[in-house]
Amino acid sequence: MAPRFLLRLSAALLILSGSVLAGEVADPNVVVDTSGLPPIAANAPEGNPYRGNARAAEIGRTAFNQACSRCHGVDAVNKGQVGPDLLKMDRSCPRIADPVIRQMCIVDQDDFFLKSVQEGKTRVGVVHMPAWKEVLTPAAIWTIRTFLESRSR
Amino acid sequence: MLRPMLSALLAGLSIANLPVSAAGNPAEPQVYGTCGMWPHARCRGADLRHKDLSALDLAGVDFTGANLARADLRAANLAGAIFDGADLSGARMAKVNAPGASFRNARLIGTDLEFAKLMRTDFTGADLTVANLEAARTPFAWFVGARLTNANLQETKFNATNLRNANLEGALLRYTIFPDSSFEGCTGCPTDW
Repeated sequence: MAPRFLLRLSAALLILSGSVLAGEVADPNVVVDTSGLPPIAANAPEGNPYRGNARAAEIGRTAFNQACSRCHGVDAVNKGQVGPDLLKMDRSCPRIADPVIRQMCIVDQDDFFLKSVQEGKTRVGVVHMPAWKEVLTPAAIWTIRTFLESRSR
Repeated sequence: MLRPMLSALLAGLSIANLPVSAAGNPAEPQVYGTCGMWPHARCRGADLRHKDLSALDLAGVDFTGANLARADLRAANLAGAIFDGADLSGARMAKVNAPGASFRNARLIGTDLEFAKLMRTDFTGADLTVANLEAARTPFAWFVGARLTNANLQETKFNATNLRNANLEGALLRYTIFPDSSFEGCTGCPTDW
């Protein structure tokens, strides 16, 4: 009887810790300083404006480790965290040979990333990821995207 | 003699089944207007009627308001895809993998969802009249206010499914199971389950 009770207790604690870790509200204490980066023009083309920018990747790493690492792993190294492995994203676009179509694909992935971070993920009433739009500016989100691209395998 | 003929035949079949881009290059993803056939694509309001999208990886694609009537999506990966307000009437969706997908207020009249994997899928307000969900699995899915009248629900596994205010009148409920499902306000649900 005792082992079964302990098993159930452990399972309950695991579920509880998962829901706490996932969090329903974005951490308002996250601060990302993007002042050293070029400002994003209102009429800038769609997509990540900081792609390939080493300084942005550096800022993105700090931002990621403050805001995202709890669920996606420190430095995006996912060792069984509750969130998906973000280094495995965007594997379809590089395989596309046509540069025009490939660019369309990359812009779609960028837009999906931006919206996912801004709006979060809620499915059938369960918050899987909080909305970060009140905490992270688009520039801050693009630095995180740039950091992840710099680390992609 | 037979073996080379067979391999040539199989090779021909596999090339014929590959999507072909506008440039005619095999293995390149197809693009319909601004809607590309890759994960996380933006396909809001796209006209995809009768298109063959079978076995494609369309995870996270936004098909909000799109017209996919009679499209072929068999065995496609639709994890996290959004079909809110889309028209999927008569679409062939057998064996789709659609965990976390959203079909809120979508039209799925006569849609074939046989053996579909629908974990945490949201069908709130959807119209699934005469749809085929035979042997589909729907753990933790929501069918709140959905219309399933005259649907084929034979061997459908509604585990922990939210069927509040749904309408199952005339649906075929043969070997259908509903463990831990909620039926408040549901018409035609087996409330004695």
